[in-house]
Amino acid sequence: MADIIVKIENLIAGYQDKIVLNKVNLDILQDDFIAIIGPNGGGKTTFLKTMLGLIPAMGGNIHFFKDNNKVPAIPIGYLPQYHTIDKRFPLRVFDVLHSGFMNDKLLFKRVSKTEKLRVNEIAEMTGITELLQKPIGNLSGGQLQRVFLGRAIVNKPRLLILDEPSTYVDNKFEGELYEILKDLNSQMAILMVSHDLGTIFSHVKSIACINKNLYYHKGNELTEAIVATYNCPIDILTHGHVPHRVLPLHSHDDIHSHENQQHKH
Amino acid sequence: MGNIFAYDFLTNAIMASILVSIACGIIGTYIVSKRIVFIAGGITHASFGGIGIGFFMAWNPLLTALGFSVIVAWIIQYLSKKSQIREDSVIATMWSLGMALGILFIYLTPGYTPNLMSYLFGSLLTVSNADLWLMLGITFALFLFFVFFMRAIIFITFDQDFAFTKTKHVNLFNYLLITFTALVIVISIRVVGIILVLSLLTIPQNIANIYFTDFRQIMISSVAISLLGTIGGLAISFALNVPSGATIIITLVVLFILAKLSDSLITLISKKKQLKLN
Repeated sequence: MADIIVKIENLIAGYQDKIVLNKVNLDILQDDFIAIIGPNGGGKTTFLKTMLGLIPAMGGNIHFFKDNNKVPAIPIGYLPQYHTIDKRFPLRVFDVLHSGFMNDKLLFKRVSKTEKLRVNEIAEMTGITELLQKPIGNLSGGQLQRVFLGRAIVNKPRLLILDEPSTYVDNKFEGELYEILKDLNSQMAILMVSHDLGTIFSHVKSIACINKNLYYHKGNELTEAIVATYNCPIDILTHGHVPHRVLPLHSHDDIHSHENQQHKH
Repeated sequence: MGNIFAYDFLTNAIMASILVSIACGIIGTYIVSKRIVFIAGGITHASFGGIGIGFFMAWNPLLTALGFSVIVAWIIQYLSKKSQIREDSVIATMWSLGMALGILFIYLTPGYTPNLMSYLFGSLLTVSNADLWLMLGITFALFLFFVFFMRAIIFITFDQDFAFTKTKHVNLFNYLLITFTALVIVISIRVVGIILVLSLLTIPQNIANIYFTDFRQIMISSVAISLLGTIGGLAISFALNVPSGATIIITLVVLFILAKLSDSLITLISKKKQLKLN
């Protein structure tokens, strides 16, 4: 079994007087690739932000490990939600990638040669080499997500945390993203929040559903029975010849209620 | 205007224009990039409270304004982190509270306060040597801070959340930057006055942004554009014998319109050329 890198015990998290997560437990192993799913407002982003230290935990513990020894922190790569970033900020792609090297000590240094080489390497890997000197304002949504993925992994983190990386991107990038993540998974654990439940399951190793609590499911098949036991109300999309949406089984009587739901969308 | 006295106050006016142009070019780029123009507006107007206290206590109003606006800046920075408070409402409250305190203290000040207008609309020609030293000190400190920490400032400003996951110094930088914002605003009040300061922090940056898309380039060209606007405006105001602060702002706005027009013209011509080639 792979080494454990993060141990989350009875984590309580939220904002001010509102508890969003109640006693969450999760062990993250070095080779994990976990999809985090769950309803909107269920606490997915709160969970990530608490793990990252962006919001303080209200209770419980988060322990980090390196070679089975407890350490105060491990390097974590983070790809925040797309809409949280100012796309018109006057900055070039190279600088965005380079900002991934930022840490307490390196805050004051200039670009070193090894960093420059590593930025080029990452640009190649994420397919943005030609964009390096462009301002981020000129990039498309998919190109920007590549840049932010690059920034997250440039300093070779042990854990990569992605908050909805496949929103605002085209299908082509989505496919490439999973290819890149598969490669990266040999070097780091990956935790990924996603709304795109159709394709995600074939790429991840396990699933965690967050809806105030966390339900961990080893394996990547999510059946309706599992959804029911985990109390995890989500939409499951599948791929077919015609784009379609699968609804829960229903008797003939309540067909109208479903029609009503459809109209809301 | 050829006598020695004219030369002396004109030298001070030009020196002040240069120092404030450098300071505003630098901190204005931070303000515009981070989209905190409203915070800058709040600090600017709140500083009037400090000026009022200065008059009332018979101290140097510029010094009391410095202290007062730095405290206001810290309060805004502190409260904006608390998510149960609306940030823009906090700014608006500090904005009007400062103005109200200023008016009240000036009313309570015995005697006549002759140079109130110079704080509202600037008074380049009455800049004293002491004012100049203050401007020099603040501009020099700001310059050093940006030279040494440019990367950190850009990265932290660009994406706070990401920076938080990388370094524990994010808040230290936020407070330092908001402090410099307050200090630069107060020294700029001597040049264009409370009412007009905001334009010195935003117009040069917006002109620069027409031609450049990189933080550092915008910063350097903003300083150059500010220099053009303030020295040019000062010369025009001197020639026409009109108030300098207002003339500087109008000069900058004219520069902005010219830059925008010439840029649109260039785009139009290059579009036509491309169509012809096709």
